[in-house]
Amino acid sequence: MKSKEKIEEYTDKALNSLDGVERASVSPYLLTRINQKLGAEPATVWEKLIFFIGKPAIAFPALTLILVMNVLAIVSQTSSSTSAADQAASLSADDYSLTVATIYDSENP
Amino acid sequence: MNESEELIEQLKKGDQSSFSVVVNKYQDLVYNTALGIVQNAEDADDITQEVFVQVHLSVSSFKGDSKFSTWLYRITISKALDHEKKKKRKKRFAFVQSLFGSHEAEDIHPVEFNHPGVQLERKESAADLFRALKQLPENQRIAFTLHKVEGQTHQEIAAIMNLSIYAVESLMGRAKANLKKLLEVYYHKKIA
Repeated sequence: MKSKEKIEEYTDKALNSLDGVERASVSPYLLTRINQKLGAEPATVWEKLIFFIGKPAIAFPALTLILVMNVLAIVSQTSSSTSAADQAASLSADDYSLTVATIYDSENP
Repeated sequence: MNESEELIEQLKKGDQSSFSVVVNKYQDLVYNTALGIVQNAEDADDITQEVFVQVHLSVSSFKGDSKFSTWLYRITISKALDHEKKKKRKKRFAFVQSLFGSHEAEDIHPVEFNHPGVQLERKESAADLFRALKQLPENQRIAFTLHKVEGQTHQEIAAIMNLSIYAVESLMGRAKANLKKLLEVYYHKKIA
């Protein structure tokens, strides 16, 4: 019974412990520290963009993506390059009639 | 246009001396609010700096629909809660590190917080209250902190938290009831 009263007493004391609390004050030279931070912060949109792109979390995945895209482009180009060369050769042969001329051809246009 | 509104207008125009005046005028409001939420002097100091940097960068977006101090409270609360979330993530990582035997894991168990504005004879009880306060849901904790630590009225808290006065009263009621339960359990264990 006594302990119950004590618990109640402590609880009430704790609940009322912030009555009349004073405002805590910040440590000195806050303005100087803020100005230092402001000096380090990017101001314009372009600076913000460069700051954003320059972050490792953005820069490394972006670089990896570019590299992967380049490798894929090179691989797909080399696999299709032989067939493309053949096609180009046959097209130019058709366009310019690159065939061996015979006497029959010149006499019968 | 009153003195505060004039000050904000000057600040919007980029006047550096008005920024200094704003910092000097509101620094304790921001620091004390942040301190009540994060319960750590160094963290509250960092948050205060972040808040004023944010104010400097986005004062143009302040439309004047609410009081400047209300806007400032909102930024402070948001920054303090973000800071807490980051710290919790770090603590979780530190805990995992400690499982693998790394010695970098520290501050896993929070230290007792003593608010510098509390009267000496009430320090111990206040520390118990702050410990219990940490276990409350976010909204209840913010409402209780603004009321008890910053001395804000229910009406002002309603404006800051974008709630009705009735909702704030309800939050305060639940906060007090939950704190009572938590403290009773704590003292029961302590006495037994």
